Amino acid sequence: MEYQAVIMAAGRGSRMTDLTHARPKCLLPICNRPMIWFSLKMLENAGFEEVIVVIHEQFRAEVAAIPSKYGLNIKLDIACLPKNEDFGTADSLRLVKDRIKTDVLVISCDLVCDIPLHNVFDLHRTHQSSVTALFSQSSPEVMSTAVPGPKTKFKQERDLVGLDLQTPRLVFLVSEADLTSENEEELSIRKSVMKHFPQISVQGNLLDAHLYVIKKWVCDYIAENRSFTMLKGEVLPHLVRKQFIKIQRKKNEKELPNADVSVVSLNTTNRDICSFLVDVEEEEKIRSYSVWNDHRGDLRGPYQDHNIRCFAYVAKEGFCLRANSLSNYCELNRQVIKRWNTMFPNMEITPPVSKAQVGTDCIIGETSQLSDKCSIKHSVIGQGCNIGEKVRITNCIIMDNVTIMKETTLQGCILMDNSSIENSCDLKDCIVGHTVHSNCKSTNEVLVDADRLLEI
Amino acid sequence: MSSNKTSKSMSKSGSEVLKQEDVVLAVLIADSFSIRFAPVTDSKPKALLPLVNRPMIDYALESLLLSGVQKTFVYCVAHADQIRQYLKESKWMRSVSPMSIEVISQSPDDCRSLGDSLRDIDGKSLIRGDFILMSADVISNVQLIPILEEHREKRKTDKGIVMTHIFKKSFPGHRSRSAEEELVLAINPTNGRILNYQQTTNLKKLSFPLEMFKEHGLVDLRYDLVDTHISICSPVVLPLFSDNFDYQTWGDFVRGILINEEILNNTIYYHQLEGSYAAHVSNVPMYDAVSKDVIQRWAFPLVPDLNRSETTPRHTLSRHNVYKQPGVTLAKESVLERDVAVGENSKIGERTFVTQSVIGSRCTIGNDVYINNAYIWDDVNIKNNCHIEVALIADGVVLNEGVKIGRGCVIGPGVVLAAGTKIPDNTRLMAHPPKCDNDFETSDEEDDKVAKPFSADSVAYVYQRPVEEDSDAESLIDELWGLDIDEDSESEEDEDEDEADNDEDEEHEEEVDVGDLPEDMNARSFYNEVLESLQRGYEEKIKGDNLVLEINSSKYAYNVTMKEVNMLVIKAMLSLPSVMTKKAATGTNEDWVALRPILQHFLPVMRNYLKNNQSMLDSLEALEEFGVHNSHFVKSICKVLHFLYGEDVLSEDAILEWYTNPPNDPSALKTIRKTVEPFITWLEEAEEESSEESD
Repeated sequence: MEYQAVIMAAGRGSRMTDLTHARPKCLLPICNRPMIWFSLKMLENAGFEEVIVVIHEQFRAEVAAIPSKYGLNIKLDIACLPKNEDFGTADSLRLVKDRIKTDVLVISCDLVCDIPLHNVFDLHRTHQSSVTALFSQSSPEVMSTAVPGPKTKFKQERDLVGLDLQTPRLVFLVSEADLTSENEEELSIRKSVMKHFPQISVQGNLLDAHLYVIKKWVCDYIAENRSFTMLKGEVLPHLVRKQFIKIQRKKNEKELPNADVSVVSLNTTNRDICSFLVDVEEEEKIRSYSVWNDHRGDLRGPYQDHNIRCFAYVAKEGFCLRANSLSNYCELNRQVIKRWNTMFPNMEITPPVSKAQVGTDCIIGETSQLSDKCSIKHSVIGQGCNIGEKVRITNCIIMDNVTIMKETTLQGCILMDNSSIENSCDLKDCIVGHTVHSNCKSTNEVLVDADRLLEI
Repeated sequence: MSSNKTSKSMSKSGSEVLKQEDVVLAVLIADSFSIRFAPVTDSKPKALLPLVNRPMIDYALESLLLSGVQKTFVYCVAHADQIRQYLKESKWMRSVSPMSIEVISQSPDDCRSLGDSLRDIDGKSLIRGDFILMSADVISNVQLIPILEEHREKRKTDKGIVMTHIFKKSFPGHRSRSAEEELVLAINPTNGRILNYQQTTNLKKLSFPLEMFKEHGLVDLRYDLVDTHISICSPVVLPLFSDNFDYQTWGDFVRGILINEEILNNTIYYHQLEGSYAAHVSNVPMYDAVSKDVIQRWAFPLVPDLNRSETTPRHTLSRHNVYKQPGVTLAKESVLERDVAVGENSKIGERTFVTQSVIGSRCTIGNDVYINNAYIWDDVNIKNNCHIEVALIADGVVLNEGVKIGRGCVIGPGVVLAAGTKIPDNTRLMAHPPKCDNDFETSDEEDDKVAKPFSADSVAYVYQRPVEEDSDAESLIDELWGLDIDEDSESEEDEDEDEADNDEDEEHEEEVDVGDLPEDMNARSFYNEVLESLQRGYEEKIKGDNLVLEINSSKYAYNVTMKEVNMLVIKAMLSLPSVMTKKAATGTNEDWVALRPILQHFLPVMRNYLKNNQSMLDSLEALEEFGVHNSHFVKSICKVLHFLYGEDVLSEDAILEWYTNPPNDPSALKTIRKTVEPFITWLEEAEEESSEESD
């Protein structure tokens, strides 16, 4: 087994709380399948037979049932977090550290992507990378869609990713949010870094897929270093910075036994990163014997003689989007419908038999009932729904067991499980979680249970 | 490119000016407005300095001619008459020359920069179309016409294009990079627009405005480019210079254009050379690099054996890039090892060894001379047993027997050195005492020092580089010529180590063993933060009160007890010298020398924390612990105690109480207690005395 896979499915969905109070984020439906199914499917396609899934314990049973329910052969090894506790991605990785025996692929459950993973693994293997991250040149159309719920000024999170032009090395990684929150107007780079990497391509429009292939020693490092909570926010930038340090490992080995043993150096929580590197000497030897080099222009050895290396695989084409916000979630539904047949061949969706007008880019659960005279366009309808006459649905996501009475018009709405809409409503860009009474007209509102409103 | 414009020459009849739009025009600035080559350029313009036995301006004109330029304005400032005279006699002014040349000269008082010269050209309204702007000290084999067309093509999509500047790729560490002209460009890779330009020579950190990355999704940062000093300019460049009198150099211009981009909508593009050669002889090290490039044929067809000039004969090429002009006499057992060019009628003596050097015309070189990496110009007489390595020797120099010239020296024209003289590294000599009326050399004190000849029988005066404002680093770099190339990599490694150190500092301090640091993470973090505050406080001379505020806020942030604060602050102060110098205590007097100013600076801080007996005891405990863990420090402890006692930070009672209490660590008994014993006895005695007095 060369790689293990871990799915981080304990995310709270903090940017889509209106949806996640009923279902956890990893079980929200995208085209009538739970979000996590897409990650599992992707791993299965990449050849994984087993995957570690980190979730909150109350959803264990539901998640465990997914492979059999949807015909996946992948085996789940479920690791549970205590209920209601927030764990960052690095914390989660620390939780499953004993199960990790090899290099590991870490993905987040909200990723839907058809980029062939073997490309990322190949890059990781070729360069003995410490961390390899997947970036995608995000499609611009995602930015401009109407979002249900109250109008908010939504800002797409962007990172500034500095890549070496000759090798796909990650030279720096800063999130724009960090820069603006610190009120910095400038991005500064050390000249010594520019000496090592004289051609840096700074890309601001890349989408970080939150898919990382991580070397075993890095996992150990994360496991030991308890101050890390997030992979993306902390571990990755840290490692990217650490690429440029000089390894003083050999010196330390000689000096430590003789030197006065001090509390500081014994303090295991802060073991130096270099002490985690394994087989460095062997690797250095191989590098020195080889005539191969990864870059031109100076006389330094391959990889600038760096032992910690971060690489980025930038996917030029292919679909890649994360459902990490409400707008992305809606967009994902729309995009996946369009691409269903190319992304998942041999998995055709059979719509229920009805005389209703159903557009081509719709997915409708088999057990839902549509009355004859309704029209449905660009929408997803879950299982067990009941849709009345003269209902017009455009651009909506309707989850399971929803009842919609006659003569209602819905546009750009999300209807949560078990909600119902009575006669002659006209809703536009709303999120509905309970019963909406007759003749209701709303735009850009969140209509959820009254008792939940009280909770807040 | 019709032929009717190629004829005639200097006369600019009205009809010709009208047709200018179709003529490929170039402006050659025959002055570098710098004194990098002084004292050699005191008597000769830089453009006429020989490079591999040919004046530099020849290469520049040849470059323009080869790339299809039809008319060139040569703009001369310093020693304009010499350039005019040279061009008059050269092939360039002949009627058969395919490129017509017009010489414009201006007195050095009216023109002190590139900006001034372009303003002058604008005032003369000579140019109406696109033109090529080049410096006369550029050697290139670039085909400029395609780039000019590319420039015109871009104007179709971008009306605001003012300039396409040409860069050559050259990675850090390459000899063709001039340390003085290091630059970073931010460019838009899709259309080649320059978004940001910085000169980086004196910078350690490069900053780029975030706005730029937001505006352009994709930005390439390039540190691997070298400025060739060739640009394709739109006619609007000249009025832009006229409108802004603060544009002096090309760099000013680019920065100005980029800053005003939004207002004026002017844009600058870059062009990266692929497969052709271009280099700018900006200083002596670059002169060295470019000469080697010419000899090693990188600048083909600008090589010594294809010299098209009629005044100087061609070189013949033999193996290992050895070039000889006619009439060279080589005595027996003399060796021209490799990459050597020797000018006509030069004589090289027996057993003389020459490698990687250029020797001019009519030189006489004696026996057993060693010449390595040297540039020797015309009419130089070198007697037996001289040793020259990495040096530039100008016209008419006489080196008598056994002269040894250090690395990186520049010997000005006409200098005579007496037998056996040894010239230290990086010396610049000239044949006449420095002039007082010279604008560049004003300081009287300097003149007094300089006016003496270098040695009794020599005709040589040390040239002192005038102190320029804010350019000390530049001159330093200039003087690096001839020093080992490792210099660069070494300094780089230092930087790397700094970086590594800084990185480590961020998390934990491993180098200085400060003793019993609590394992509690809070206290550790607190200690690190205090250390940082103190270090910054000391370096930036922050007031004690502000530091106290900072430390107090750290105290609350990490929730540490007052006792810990007292102890850790003291420990941090004590470890500061070794943290800052990155060296451990040596156990010598130096420790105290380093520590004293720090303690002196932090006295207010200490007074703030050490107010009562208990806090003083805490600090003494800390002092002791620090001593236990840093055995070298023990020797300084007595001095620290004395100092703090003298400054009234520690009271007598506290010190005595501490001394009578048994130490926490038994090992301290032997070492620390023993060393402070004399101080304690002195203290006790003093107390007795004072009590007696008071009685």
